Amino acid sequence: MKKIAILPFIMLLAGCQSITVLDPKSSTGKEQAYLIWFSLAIMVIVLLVVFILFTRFVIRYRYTEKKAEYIPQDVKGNLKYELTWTIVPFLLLAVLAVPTLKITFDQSPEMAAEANTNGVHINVTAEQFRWTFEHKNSKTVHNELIIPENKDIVFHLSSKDVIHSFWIPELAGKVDVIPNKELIYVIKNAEIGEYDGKCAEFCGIQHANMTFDVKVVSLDEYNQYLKQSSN
Amino acid sequence: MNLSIFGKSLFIPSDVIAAWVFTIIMGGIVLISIFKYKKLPVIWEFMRTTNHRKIGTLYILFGFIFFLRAGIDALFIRSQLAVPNNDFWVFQFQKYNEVFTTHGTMMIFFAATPMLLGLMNIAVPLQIGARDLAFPFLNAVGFWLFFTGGMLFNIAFFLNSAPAIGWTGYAPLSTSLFTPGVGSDFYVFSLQISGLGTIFTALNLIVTIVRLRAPGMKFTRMPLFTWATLITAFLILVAFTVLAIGLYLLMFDRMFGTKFFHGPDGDPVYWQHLFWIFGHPEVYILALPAFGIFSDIISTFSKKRVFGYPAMVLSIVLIGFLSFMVWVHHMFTVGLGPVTNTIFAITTMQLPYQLGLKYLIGYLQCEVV
Repeated sequence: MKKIAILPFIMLLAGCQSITVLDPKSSTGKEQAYLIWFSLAIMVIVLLVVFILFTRFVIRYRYTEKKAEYIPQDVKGNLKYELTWTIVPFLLLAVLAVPTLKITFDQSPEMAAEANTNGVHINVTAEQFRWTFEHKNSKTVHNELIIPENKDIVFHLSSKDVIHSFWIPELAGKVDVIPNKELIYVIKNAEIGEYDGKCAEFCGIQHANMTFDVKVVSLDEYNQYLKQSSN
Repeated sequence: MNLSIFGKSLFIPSDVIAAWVFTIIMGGIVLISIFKYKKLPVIWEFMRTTNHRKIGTLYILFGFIFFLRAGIDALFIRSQLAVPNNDFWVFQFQKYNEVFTTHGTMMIFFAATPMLLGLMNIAVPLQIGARDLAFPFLNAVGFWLFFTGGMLFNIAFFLNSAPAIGWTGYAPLSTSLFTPGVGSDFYVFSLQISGLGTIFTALNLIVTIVRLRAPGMKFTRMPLFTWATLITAFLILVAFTVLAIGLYLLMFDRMFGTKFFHGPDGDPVYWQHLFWIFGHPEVYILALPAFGIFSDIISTFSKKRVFGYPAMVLSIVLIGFLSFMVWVHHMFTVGLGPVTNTIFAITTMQLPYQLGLKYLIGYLQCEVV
């Protein structure tokens, strides 16, 4: 019964309730979260099978005094079992592979020359330790990103010094920002709201403070925002 | 803390001073007890030994000491991160960056790898019926190179110039343009030196397993830990050589003004390729011997032969081979393009398939006693 004393500590895990990556606010992020949940489901199946078998084996075949002199029979193999554990994992992987490959192919960041996308283009420049966002009418803002909702936002990422990584956990996964190389990353259909963005590749002493604010607004508000002078 | 030495003011963080004081006190205690219990001949013996079991013991001993140091680093990291906006001792900003860099580097290169090498040193000759490794002196050289690298890396902290570039040392942050201090040089040289030792030991193990098996100990009868060691040794041979190349290029970038990893002609992504072609097999360098240990222990205690021995050996070989084909999954965010990313997603999914098969076969062994 002493083991029940552990239970309150398990409740502490409730502190992990707000994992923003698993509750994304854009269709790009939703596809990624879907992959996480989907693979998690498949893995839980495998995990359960393994744990149940493991527990059963450990309990049932454990060493006891009675078995001290027992020498088990020599088993050469079992075709049925062997086929099962070769084919079933393969099927599971095949099921997992289809959406993974599709989304990987769609969403991978691209070199600038190969990309051909319509949408709202924004130049993102990272440097130690600050973000600069340049909108299409050359309006330039530091550490604050304002984008319209329900649009394809095309980010042109480049770095002035070391490698940084552009990450808005609530909207989509991270993409590295590399010097002398422009990468294109598209985030689709963001929902209205205020989010946090950060640098996700260790870049030097102030890396932890290299953050920016993201505001997703309606298209009208965005157009109005563009007209304001950048001061 | 500001110290004034020879009329000059010198800033030294209090954790470094604490480490000096601790080292002097502990050093004194250790020294006294060595003389008191007359252990000097034992140390002298271990310093000159070429015996595989003694060298293995040394590997595990120093692996464990470095493990403690890296573990203390981890405690500092957790203390600093315990609550938001925390100011724990000195571990903010650069100090924090140094602590997580040394933690990662020590755990991988100076704790996990040497402990497994130590076990291989001890167990492999016993398992295959060899008197010692094929080149006992080279074995000692390999250990002392690892020891030197590990000490060099630790001394960096005592001189208040620990590296702060992450354990992956990503260029261009690790080039002299952005980290001109000696910290990153300590990283480059200590890894280079201990990596050389690891390569020597791997060569030694390969030759031992191929040439020194006792009569009747065929490849098809070898214990699985020895099989895992053989494959691991091949992985080390390739992976650490690639790391050595990467570190040489980085050294040239840092000291001789070349531009492999930055500037208009160089590319920081080259470093990532070299590092992860080493880094991913490194995962299996650590994992394969552990699988071998499981197999041998489980089959021994269930009084049965290894179930599906040929399949087990085949999967060790395949895992070793596939581990060289998946390094790009550490670089999906780098923008190598959709085709590359997709291909490496497929190869990466292949790998756990092999692993899973191996595990399942392993579990079935339990069905015995």
